[in-house]
Order: sequence, then C-alpha cells, then structure tokens
Amino acid sequence: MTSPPLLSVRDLAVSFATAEGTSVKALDGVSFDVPQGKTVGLVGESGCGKTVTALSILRLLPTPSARIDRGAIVFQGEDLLTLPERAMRQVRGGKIGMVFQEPLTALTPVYSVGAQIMEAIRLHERMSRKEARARALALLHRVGFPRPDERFDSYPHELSGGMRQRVLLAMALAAPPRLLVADEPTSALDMALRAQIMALLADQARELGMSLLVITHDLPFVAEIAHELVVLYAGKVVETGPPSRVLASPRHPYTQALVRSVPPAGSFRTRGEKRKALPTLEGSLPDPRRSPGGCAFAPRCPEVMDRCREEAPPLFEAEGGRDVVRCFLQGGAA
Amino acid sequence: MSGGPDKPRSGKPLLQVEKLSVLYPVRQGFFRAPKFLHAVDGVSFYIRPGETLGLVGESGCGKSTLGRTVLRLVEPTLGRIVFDGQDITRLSERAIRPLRRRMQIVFQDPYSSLNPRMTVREIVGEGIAALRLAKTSREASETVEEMVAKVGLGPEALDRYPNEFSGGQRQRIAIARALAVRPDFVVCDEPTSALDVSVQAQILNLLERLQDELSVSYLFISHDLRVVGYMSHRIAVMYLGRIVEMGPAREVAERRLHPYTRALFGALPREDGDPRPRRVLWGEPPGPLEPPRGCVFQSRCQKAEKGRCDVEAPDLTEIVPGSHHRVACFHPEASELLAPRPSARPSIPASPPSEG
Repeated sequence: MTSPPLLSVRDLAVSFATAEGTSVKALDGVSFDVPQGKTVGLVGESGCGKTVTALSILRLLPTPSARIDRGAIVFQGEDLLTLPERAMRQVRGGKIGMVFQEPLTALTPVYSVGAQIMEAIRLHERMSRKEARARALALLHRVGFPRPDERFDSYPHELSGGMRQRVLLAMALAAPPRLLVADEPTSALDMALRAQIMALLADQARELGMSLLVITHDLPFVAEIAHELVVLYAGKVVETGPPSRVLASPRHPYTQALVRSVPPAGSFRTRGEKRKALPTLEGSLPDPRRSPGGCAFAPRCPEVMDRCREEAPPLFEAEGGRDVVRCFLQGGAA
Repeated sequence: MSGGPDKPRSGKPLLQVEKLSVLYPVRQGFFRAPKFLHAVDGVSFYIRPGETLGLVGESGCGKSTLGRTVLRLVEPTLGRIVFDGQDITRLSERAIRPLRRRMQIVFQDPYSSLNPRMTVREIVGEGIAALRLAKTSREASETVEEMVAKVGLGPEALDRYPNEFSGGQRQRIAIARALAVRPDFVVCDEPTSALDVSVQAQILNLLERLQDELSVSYLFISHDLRVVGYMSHRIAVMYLGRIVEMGPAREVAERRLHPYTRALFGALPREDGDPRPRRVLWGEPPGPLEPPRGCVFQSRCQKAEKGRCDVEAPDLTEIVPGSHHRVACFHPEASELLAPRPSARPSIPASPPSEG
C-alpha cells in the first residue's frame, strides 16, 4: 500500500462572523491530501477560499471572527486543529513553512535580509551567530543569489520583488520544513519571474524531499510543477486531477472556463477584422451571505440544468475513481 | 538594413515617437555630480489609427514611464512626440489642453484610480464637463448613460460609488471614463494585471469590442506576454529603457528574433501540460542607473560576444527589408528566417534553440 499522505484536510468548514451578527461560510467541507514529497496546486479565484485554507492549516485564521465549524487537518498523523497553541508554534515555521504573496510586507524594513534569515534559523535551532551567518549565506545561495555575501547586508527596499520572494523562500527553508505552503507566491511578480520562482520552488521541494502546497489563481503556471490540482469554487472543491488531464480536458464547467479564459497563444489580430471574443464567465461569485440551495456555480454555468438549481451536486468519481468532480453532468460518466 | 525612423508603410500614423528619452538626475551625495537614470532611452515607434501596439517587458523596464511620456504626463528629456501631425513634445500645458481629450489612459489599479467620493455618473461625466463637450446637461448625462451601458454596466450603477463594485466592474468604470470623451488614443497601462483570469477575459473582450466600434488606438502595456500577444496588432519588446524588438504581433511571437524575446516566450507555461521543466530566464536586469556599455541585454544573454556586444549598442534594424520586423541585436535568432514560417502555433523548445 501507499504511505499515508503527509497532510490530509478532511471536511474542513470555516465561517466568519459578520458585522451584522450573522456568519458566512468561507469553506464548506473541503477535503484533499498532500502526499509525501509531492506538489499540490490549490487553484481558484478571489474569494474561493484558498487563502482561508492556507491560514487554517497554519492556524493563523483571525480570531475571534473566524470559526472552524467542523473537520480535521491531519499532519503526520496528528490533527493540527486540536494542538495547543504552544505546540503549534513549533509546527509553524518548523515542520510547516510558509511563503506569502506580498514579499514587501512580509519582510521587516528595519533589518537586513541576512539578519532576518539568521533570526529564522536561530528560532528553530540553537547555534552561534557565526554558524547562523554561514547557514544564512548558504540559504541565499540556494535560492539563487550567486554571490550571497553581496546581498547579506541589503535591506528589503533595495531588492526587487523577485529577490524579496527568494529571500522569503530562504527564510521558509531555514529549518527545512516537511511541508511548504506557498500562498500566491508569484501573483505580485512579472511573467518572467513567475516561471523563475515556480521552478525554484519545485527544485527545492525535490532536493529537500519536501511536500509543497501552492495556492494560486494562475492555473497554467502551477500546472507545470504540480502533481495534482485541486480546484476550489465558493468554498468547495469542484474538481481534482493531474494537471495534464485538467488542462487538456477539464470536466467541471468552472474549470473549463478557467482554462479557456487564458488568452490563447497563436491568436493574432488583423487590422480591420473582427474576431471571436474570448469565452468568458459572466456574473460573479455568489454572495456568501445568501446561500441558495443547489449548485453554487449554477447562476454562472453555461450548462445549467433545472436540477442544479434545486439540489447541490455531490462529488462524483471520474477517471475511474482517480479524480473527483462536483457536477451532475459527470454523475453518469463515472 | 536601415536604422532610420520606423514609419508605417502607408497612411499617416496617429502617433509618431522619435528617439524619445526620459532621464532622471540622481544625486548620490551632496557634492557629487548627479548621475542619470535612463528610464526611457532613445525609443522610436508609431501607432496607426485604430491600431493596438503592445508594449511588453519586465517591471522597471520603463514601459509605464514611456506610456505616460507620450501623453505628456511625464516630461520627455530628448526626442520628439508627434500626435496627429502636431509636435507636442514642448507644448505648454495650456497649448496641449485641447489635445487632452484625444489622449486618455486606463490605469492598472481600479481601486486607487477612481475617486471613492464620486458616483459613477460623476466619474464618467467629469471629462465631458471639464472639456465642455456637451451643449446641455441633458446631452452630457445621455453621453454618460450611453457610455456606462457600452461597458456592460446597468443603469443602476450610475448613482453608486466605486467601493460598491468588484475589481472587474471598477475597471469597466475606468474604461468608460477614458472613452466618454471620445479619444483617438488610449494608453492601457496593465489594465488587467490586478484582475482574476476570468475577469481579465471580460475586460480584454470589452477593450477589443470598443476599439472595433470607436476605432480608437491603444498603447497596450503589460508584462503578460499572453495578453499582449493576443491583444496587439504589433508588439514592441522593451528592456532596460530600450525597444529591443518590434514588429507585427505574429512575426514577433513566431520568429522571436531577439534573445530576450525568446527568453520571455520561453518563460510562459507550456500549453500541453507537459511536466518537463521549460526554459527559465534567470537573473534580473541591471539597474537603470548605470546601464551597461553596448547592448542592454548582454549580462543575461547566452549569445553575448566579447568585444562587440559590450562595446557597441545594436540599432533597431529591419532584418528583412519591408517586413517591418525590427530587432536590436548583433546575433539575432535568424536561422529561422530561412525556413518557411510555421502557420500553426509554435511549440516552445525545451532546450535553448538554434545554437547549432
């Protein structure tokens, strides 16, 4: 048999209290696994719940507004949701590392990047400043600074966005984690740098035998490094599968829209000629304060049926049980 | 080969930019002479009526500065900007005012570019009022309502405030504002970079549809080659303040003559989901404060030749006469020029191409 997954999110439901005293569901029964040494891409657009998932895993949800309604987050056989905060502090930045989207706000402006990496190292391991400095230099080299001593004393504002993101990655790798959670690691970066950072993440995961959970809205980029994709919509998993299959033949109408709304290469404009518009997804996310019955995607779905408005579809097995998809159209196809 | 100014084959360009430079003096010490930051360095291009010129490059390459300079929102240091036959490079603010209507801009961030205290009606109508484009207030409000409908918002949007709208809807409002004064030319500065992919597609469709309807010209600025390739009739690739390759979108995308263009395309995700690692552009551009002598791209170029690329800056030249495809490189990836142009979409090579 295969070994148990490193991380297993089971039926996770999270809600937020609103100013009016009601609560809205951010996650509604999300389940997925991150196997040992594998990379999983959690894909979805603004408001789908992907960042809430990351914050739940790290137990960094804002209190008291956020509440975990049910579910479990099992990491190395232990439910993180039941761990006392003290123990959780050892997990965070220790066994589970993290990289966030905003590489400027995640670094403090008043210390040099070298000092910040050294601090991350010494937080998890007792060692002299000299040893920590040597380790920090090695980490900078690892994340793609060929002459790390030239960058050690730089301050965050002196670095470009791509460099800052690499410094954050160096800090996350200070005590090599078992799992690295990267929340939109490339969204603030240029196209050319996205490829660079994704490749770097994948290389580090491979070399250190680390598992990687990459949370992003950029499906094509994460598809390049992920072993498995999990697509979220309105707080629910709507489709899972290997990137090659999801890109080539997405099953859920939402995934289909996500894949097709990327402007295709090889389509060019000619002056004075009209061409077909890009397929788009009309409408916007359902208002989480009102949860009508039925499928959350129904109001925007090009293939909606009467049934979809009344009944919420469960996850159906697809690809012979390998993948799942939350759509009635796939119900008979399993 | 010719290094002369790039001019359209036929017809008058709407905008002609010649050897435009924007330099900023930077003092690194009180008694030291200032150095110059070359934000834009000797750039020439033209845009025809109803055409989109895509401007692509990494952050800091000067593309936004260039976009603002042609609108005279940033002062040019050297060179010439000719808009519809009129040299506007040194026009006073007063003299340029009549032209302001004809040149508009849509910014990247729809959250900070709309005044939160104004309703949609006021935002979209502001230009019409300021430039006195309507004879009566009735005519003004009709124009506003028509424009808001054109960008796909309902009449109920008119009396609401920007914070009641999503990012994509706000960008529609910004587009309505820019087009309400019936401009001939709009700079679109990363108009979809802050948006989700599915919303991005809506905005791209909208910009294209409005261009077809109103025959406005766009300078479309983005770091996203997928978007620029899709939206543009012609593409200019910018690196460290200079245009290194420019030509018809299909030519640039399929031939990729400059090593930098090739690297940019190589950094795109492969469309077939192939798990093999693709070519990644490593390193970062040098700082614009001290641009290298010779070619701007030499420090990251696999083809850089000592004694040539680090001595002399290559001119933007047309390699095949009449092709309007120009490249600034001593070693362009020209071997493909001999082969027939592939008609289907090109596949992205897994290894560095055409070194042999």
